[in-house]
Amino acid sequence: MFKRIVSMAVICALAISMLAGCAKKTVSYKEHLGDYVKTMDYHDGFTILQLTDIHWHGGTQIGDEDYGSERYLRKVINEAVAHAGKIDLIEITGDTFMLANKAAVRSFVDFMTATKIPYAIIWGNHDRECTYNPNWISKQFLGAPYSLYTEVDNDDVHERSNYVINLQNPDGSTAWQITNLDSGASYREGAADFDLTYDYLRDDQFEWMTAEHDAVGKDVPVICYYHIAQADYDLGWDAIQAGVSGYRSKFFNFEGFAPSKFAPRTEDICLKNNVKAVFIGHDHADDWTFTTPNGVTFGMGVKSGFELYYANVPLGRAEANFDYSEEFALIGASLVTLDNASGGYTLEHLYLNERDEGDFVMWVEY
Amino acid sequence: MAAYLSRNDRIKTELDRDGRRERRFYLLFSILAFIPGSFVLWEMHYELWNIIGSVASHSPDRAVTQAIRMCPLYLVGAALILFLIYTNGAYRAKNEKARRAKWMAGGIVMIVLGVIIAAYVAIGVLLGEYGRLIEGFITPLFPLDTLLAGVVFIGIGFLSIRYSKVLDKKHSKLPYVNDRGLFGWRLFTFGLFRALSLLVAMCGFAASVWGIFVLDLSHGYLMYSIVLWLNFFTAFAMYFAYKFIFCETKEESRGSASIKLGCIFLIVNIVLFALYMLSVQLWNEAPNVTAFALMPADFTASMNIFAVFYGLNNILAPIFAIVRGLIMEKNNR
Repeated sequence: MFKRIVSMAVICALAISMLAGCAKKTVSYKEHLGDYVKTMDYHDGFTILQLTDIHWHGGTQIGDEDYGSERYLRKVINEAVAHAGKIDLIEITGDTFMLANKAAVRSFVDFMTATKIPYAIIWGNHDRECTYNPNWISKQFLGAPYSLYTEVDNDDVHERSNYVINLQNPDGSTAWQITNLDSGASYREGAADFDLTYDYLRDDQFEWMTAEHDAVGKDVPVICYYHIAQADYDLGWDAIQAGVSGYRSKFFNFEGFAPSKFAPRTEDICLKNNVKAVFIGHDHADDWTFTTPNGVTFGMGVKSGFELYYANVPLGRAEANFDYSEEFALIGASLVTLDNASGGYTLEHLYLNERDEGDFVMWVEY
Repeated sequence: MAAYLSRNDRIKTELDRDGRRERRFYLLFSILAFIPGSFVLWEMHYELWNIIGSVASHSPDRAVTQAIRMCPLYLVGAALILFLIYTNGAYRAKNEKARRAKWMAGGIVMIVLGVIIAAYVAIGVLLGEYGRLIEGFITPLFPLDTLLAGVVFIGIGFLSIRYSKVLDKKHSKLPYVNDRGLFGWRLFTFGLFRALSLLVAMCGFAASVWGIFVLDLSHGYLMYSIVLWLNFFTAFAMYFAYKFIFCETKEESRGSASIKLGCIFLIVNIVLFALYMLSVQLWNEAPNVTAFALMPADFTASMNIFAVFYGLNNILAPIFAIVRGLIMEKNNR
């Protein structure tokens, strides 16, 4: 009996090894470029509200009228609409969910549907770390009203939420391209790695991005959204601290950036693809934004809500580069207004804190 | 192997018809507590990682807010595990008095926990801590389901107390375990290890059931997924073998059973763990793509916790069993 069980274990091991060859074949992005594309009508003054790191989950009071995340987000969106006149697109840059369940996801889809504003969601490192199949959450946003989310299953582009939104002129040409990239979750070099590093943008994603940009024209300006910082943010911070000329920066950096140790420097790729600005999320206690001497802006969104953690801003932060007269929590949103089709845009950060004596609302232009 | 699979080595062969019915009653209770307890524990460990995340990122206020809301869930988990422990303790009692005392004490604690849970949720709803009686997050019926669980625990508590009184009049037909009890470092080591194994087994069971639904096979990585699933499953299977084979074997045959079960699981688990490590080495993206939902700790803490935790448990537990079997065999001689 003992020998029989050992033999069975060995046979099972061999059978499992043979199953290793059962991985699905991948689809080449080159033959499916159109499948990654959503379109919207462009007009000067097109507004994009970035929400990030919402961390919507059932552990806290999503729907509570006195406290919940839902009420806070509604306030942020209403404030942005009041400020800009109209929000044309909401970009949700990752970690919308963390350790959530299906009910939490469905409630968020319902919430976004109720705003009646088109939105594009991309995945952060926590969105699929929940009590559902990662495929399931994709399907929720693939089929949701007002959701522009799309993905090509089993393609050869790293991760899932890689897609573009072409903002089109009345004549059908593209005025701006919004590129959404999936910066993944964690990465391990091998099985023996105990510490995992964050995932990073891969060459195949840049190649795909370039192909999508080439398809609409090399002069079309691009804004890029993804979740986890790449190497540029650390390099930019170091350069500014070292006094390198030609940079400018604004807003707050309380926790540094957390790029993967393999994260690439992306500025050259940005320049090649006429990327005017990159906006990310991930680090809740930062919204620091800088522009390189070559004119590419790398920005961090403002955490949209109070879940998990956020920074409290004390007076007198040197890196802020603007005056503020009271302490506040670093939560709110950021707003991009596309001024014209030549690549001009305006960036503003919204800080919105709920207070008993009346909400604190501050807009700061970059 | 044949020694402990033989019907003659099973405890139940010593029991009469009433004793066998009583034994089935205990085993049924174990299963009834284990299955829901596993799923509650699994849900708890998701919620717990959210709280740990808030504490680790210097936002203890967020952790407290969440812990206050999740408290009934933790108490339900604690009550189910406690129910499992005291019914098991009563089953393996060393004398009649101890069996009655365990039912009595367990029943009182269940009533207290049940009242706390039900009152907590009811007050929480009245004070607005929970928006509605059915918010639908965490579980589809939360927090109503925890309130109902509290009521059920109160009922179980009263039944347990009643049963302890029944045992006064109608003597149990189950045998008593000749257990000298554990004290000092042995209690600490074995008690801790046994409790840890139970928790890992419960998580392993829940994960292997959940895994069927949440492992994402749409991108391939079939080998990785199967090996991962088997690693979870064997964590549960080992405990199942401990409870339903080892503990159900007569005292004199247990040493041999423990050695053989330990050897089998040690070989199987080493092979499985090696295959797991090999599959991660070959397809390092596989955990990200397929297994997000099953390894929240890895992704929250950015550490390869699964491999270390389950690997250690699945390999150390059989080694413990072998050592224990050898000691029992030596004492039997």
